[in-house]
Amino acid sequence: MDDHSFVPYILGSAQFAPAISSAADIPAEGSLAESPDPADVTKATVVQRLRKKNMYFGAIGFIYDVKKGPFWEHSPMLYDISGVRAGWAKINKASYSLLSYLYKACTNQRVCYRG
Amino acid sequence: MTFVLQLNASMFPRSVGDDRSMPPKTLAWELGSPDVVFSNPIIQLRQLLSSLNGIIDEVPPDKGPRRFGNISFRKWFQTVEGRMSDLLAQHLPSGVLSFSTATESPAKNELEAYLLGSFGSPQRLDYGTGHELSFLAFVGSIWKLGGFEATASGSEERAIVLGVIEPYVKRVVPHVDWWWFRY
Repeated sequence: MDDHSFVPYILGSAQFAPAISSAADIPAEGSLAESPDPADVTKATVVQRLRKKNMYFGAIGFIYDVKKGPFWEHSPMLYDISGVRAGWAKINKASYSLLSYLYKACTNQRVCYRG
Repeated sequence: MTFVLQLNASMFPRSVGDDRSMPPKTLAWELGSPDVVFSNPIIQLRQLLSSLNGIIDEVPPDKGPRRFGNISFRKWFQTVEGRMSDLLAQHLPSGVLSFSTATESPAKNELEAYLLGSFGSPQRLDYGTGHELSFLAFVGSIWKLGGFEATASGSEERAIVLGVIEPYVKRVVPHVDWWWFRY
């Protein structure tokens, strides 16, 4: 999200959100039982383990592949999000809202620029 | 954005089983999950993405200094642009491509533009949110035009995520990023 991708964060956080019985029940907070702590994005070993199964960690894994230096420095937005305590559903809701906002901004101009 | 909302909802784990039985079972959707089946439209899109990746082998990135982006991306882009019409005709249902209303040109033109817009800018040599949205618009348009299978709530959308969106994110985007070597 600090650079250019949103979709893996939205869909990946959904993968770890609480289970629902129908699409009408989407919760605003909470996490799937036994899902990782969002703060685990700062742990390289956890990221390597989870990136093959989860899109959020897959995107973080790519960042680890291409960026050097402390996580908080090259990815401040993602670092902030890793501190969220209300669960993956909350991260999901926030990511989706951000994308909605960007979508509106994009469709109001003819061309969408980076960011 | 309705399309993204549907994709999002499909990725939430599902609780199955009624309240009177033992604790309901939870189904989660991991990448590579054997519980998610790819329909033919999805398989076709996967092959389309594979073809686009294959063009990278034909037009490999330059090995020179890449501080300002890689000029060979423009060559790749031009190659893709030239083949786009055939690629779409090969991998998308003809009913979707030829769909049009009285006042608009066929959907094919719009789909081509969306897909071409998914890989970054050959002028600015960058990639941003707009490009990702363009890919979502590509897949979302096919979805709106009935190009995917109609299934029980969420299962086709889930397969779209794991079968189409994921390869785009995982393979196309890193390739494109590698060209620009922004890091």
